[in-house]
Amino acid sequence: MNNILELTNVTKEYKNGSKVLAAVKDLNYSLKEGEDVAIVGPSGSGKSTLLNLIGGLDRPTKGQIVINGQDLSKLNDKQLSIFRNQTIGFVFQFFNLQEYLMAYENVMIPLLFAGVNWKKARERAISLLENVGLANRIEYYPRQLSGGEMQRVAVARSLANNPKILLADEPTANLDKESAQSVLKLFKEINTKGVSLIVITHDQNVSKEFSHVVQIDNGELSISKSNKK
Amino acid sequence: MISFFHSQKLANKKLFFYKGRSLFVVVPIALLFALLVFAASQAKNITNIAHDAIFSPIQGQNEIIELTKSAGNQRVIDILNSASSSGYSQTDIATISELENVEKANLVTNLPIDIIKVSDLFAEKSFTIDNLAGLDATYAALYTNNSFEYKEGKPIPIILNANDFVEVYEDWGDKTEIEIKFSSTSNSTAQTQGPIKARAIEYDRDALIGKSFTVSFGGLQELQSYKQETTSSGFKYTKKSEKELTTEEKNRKTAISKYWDYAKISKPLTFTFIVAGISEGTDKTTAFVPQEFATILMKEYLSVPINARTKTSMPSTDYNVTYIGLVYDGVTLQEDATTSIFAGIRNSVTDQVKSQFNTINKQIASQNSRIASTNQQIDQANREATRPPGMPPGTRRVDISKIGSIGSLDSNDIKIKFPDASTSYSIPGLVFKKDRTTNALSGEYKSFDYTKPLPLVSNSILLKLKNTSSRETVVAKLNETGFNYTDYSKYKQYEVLEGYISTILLAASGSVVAITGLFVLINMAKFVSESKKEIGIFRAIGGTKADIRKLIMNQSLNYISAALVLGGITGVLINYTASNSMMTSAQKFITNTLGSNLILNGNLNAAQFQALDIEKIGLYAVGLIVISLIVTLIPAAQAARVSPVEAMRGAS
Repeated sequence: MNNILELTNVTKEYKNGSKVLAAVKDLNYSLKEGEDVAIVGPSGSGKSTLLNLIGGLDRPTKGQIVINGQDLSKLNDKQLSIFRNQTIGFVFQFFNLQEYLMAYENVMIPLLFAGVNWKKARERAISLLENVGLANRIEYYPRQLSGGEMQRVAVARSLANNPKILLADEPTANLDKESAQSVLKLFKEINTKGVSLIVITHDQNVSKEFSHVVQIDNGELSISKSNKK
Repeated sequence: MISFFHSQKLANKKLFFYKGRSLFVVVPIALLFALLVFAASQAKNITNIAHDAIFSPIQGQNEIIELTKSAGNQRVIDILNSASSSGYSQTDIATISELENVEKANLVTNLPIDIIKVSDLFAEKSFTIDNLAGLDATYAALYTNNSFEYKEGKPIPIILNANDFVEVYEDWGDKTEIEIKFSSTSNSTAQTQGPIKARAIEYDRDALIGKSFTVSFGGLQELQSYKQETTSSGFKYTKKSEKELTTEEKNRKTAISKYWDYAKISKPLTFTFIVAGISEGTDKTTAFVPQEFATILMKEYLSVPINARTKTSMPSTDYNVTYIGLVYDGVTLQEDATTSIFAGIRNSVTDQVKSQFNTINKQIASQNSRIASTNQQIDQANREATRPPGMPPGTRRVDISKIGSIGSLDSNDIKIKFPDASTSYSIPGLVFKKDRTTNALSGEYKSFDYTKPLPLVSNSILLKLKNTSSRETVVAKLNETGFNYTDYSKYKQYEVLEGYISTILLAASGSVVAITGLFVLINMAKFVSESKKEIGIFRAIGGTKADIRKLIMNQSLNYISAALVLGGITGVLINYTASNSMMTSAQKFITNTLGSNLILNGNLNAAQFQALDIEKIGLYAVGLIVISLIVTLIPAAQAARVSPVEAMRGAS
């Protein structure tokens, strides 16, 4: 199988006055298409930075990131935006839904950025919400939904344009156990449909659900292991 | 790429979802915009009203120059040239019309109408109009801002002269005989000591304007109720008895009936007028009617004796002797200079008192002390004087206009036999043909070409300038060309004042624009900074910078549009509600300040204050939209440039 993700000597440095801090140091890693991985590590270890680099939200100081055969460093800002829109699905810890939009409208946003017309986008959004078990919450505003429901809306949104990779940053940290379980279950379903899964978590119970676990400490890859599925 | 329509749809959802927050952005801008609508409209309205009510009338007046021949100078010229016709001519009009910046020029001619009486303008007080002239509507602005157009069947606009507002009355005390001695040095001897007195009629200009009243023209004189003779030291007035008056009346009727239908000739023409304006504060005594009506009036006036004429032919010895009229020598139609002294005395009592009589008294008094001092001048006067037809030898024609300026006359001239009303009669509208070279009168003149200006003598010219700013140069040119004119106009001050007022108003509405603009700037910048998280999320899920700009701009556009609509409606309501009190205070201001001294257009109405300056409001609205888009665009572009990671960082 092809590598969906290839990181070669990836370094990300931040300048803080005259000091240079490396959030990610000389990191090499690859992930095959359809695989799932949990990135674990203490806070400040650089795992969120790594996720942002992979998601094309940020650019590395050094090194190369190739996703789905595309070298991200060769994409301009607009191409990178399209890349995020088409190839990546983001799920955030705090859901990041627009509270002025109903569930289905939130799901429509990536479709609208892709230039899909309103009617088609709406149909797609509704079907995605049905897939994540929110058929009866389509016209609910975020504040009318529970945390788990909101995260499922966010997941539906991330899937809007059929991404190759789903990136999730502590997706269950703000959820109760039950909701967390149902979201993880959803991730697995998505993964079985061939979408690669990269999830940041500090929760051992979460990480053990993934085929691969990568530990990051001080920006460096310390442990990489595989769980038996 | 998100479409404009979709981003607009999302923006609407945001606006309506956050109603409270939206109102915080929208309401203050709306209120400021309402104020702006009001301020801009009122600035324009006040500017317009100030222009229409104050500055335009003043400017209109300053576009007109009135040239008047100085009476004193004219007389000297007449005497030296022995000219029978004085005054301005069409040649002068041609000269002036050719001057640069002169739009047009017209002669102003007093209509030679005898006895113009007004008895129903003031309660129980009547007065006469000394001089009446036709005035082209172009020049009416000098005296009024009301319509000065003649419309058949409607009251005729007239500009009265305040100098005419004089009531003449008899005051004999308990006497029937009063004698005045010239030993007194007082100039007003006849006025204060004689039985015929005059007093000014008080009036209220504003109340008079627009009032309708009747004026009668011509008709026969009231018989003089007293006799008047010169004594060695002055004048003597004797009251006539009822019997004397009845006899006089009877004699007059008989004499006039010989050639005219008495009823027709004694009935004055009457017309209804409306006061369009009042000429005040000048030494002139001319009242004005529209030029078009002047022609109609003259036509009717000159037709009176013609229509009343019997078939009996009149012997030439009666021409301008028994029957006094006007003369036409083929060039000018005017009172016969040779008869004016008699006419002056014989004519109406009021005329006598108001002008000529007083003048004669003064002149005669001064002559008495200087008799026979300059024989040379007497000779000259004698040479000019020819014996009037029908007068006994030794009687000389005396031109009243020459008495004062020659300096002296001999005693024969002074001992004027005041014509007796029982021997000569003034017939209104009667015109005699006169030979220009021999001065002989050859009969009654019966027709004029009324399609042309009547050949009247003119002492003044009105000229209209193309614009006020050229006034100085035209005045200079007039003086170069030989028309002596001193300009007392203060138009420049008013131009400065008007400029000043519009600057202040512009500054006032400009400040509101600036404040509104500033507020929009602050509000929109705040709105964008509040939208940073949203921008970050949208960037993360695939929004390009252009998408973000489009979304944010549409949101901003929505806020400002809502504010403008709300503010626009509020502003229109404020404008409408305030118009009445604006009008009242403006009216008071105008009346109490400039209006007391100037002829202004004081009749304001609330509608003038309800007008909206749509042009400016539109301009400001577009301006505010542009400002808001710019202040949104800059931070939105900055926000879009920030990495989505950072944009979201503050969010969680």
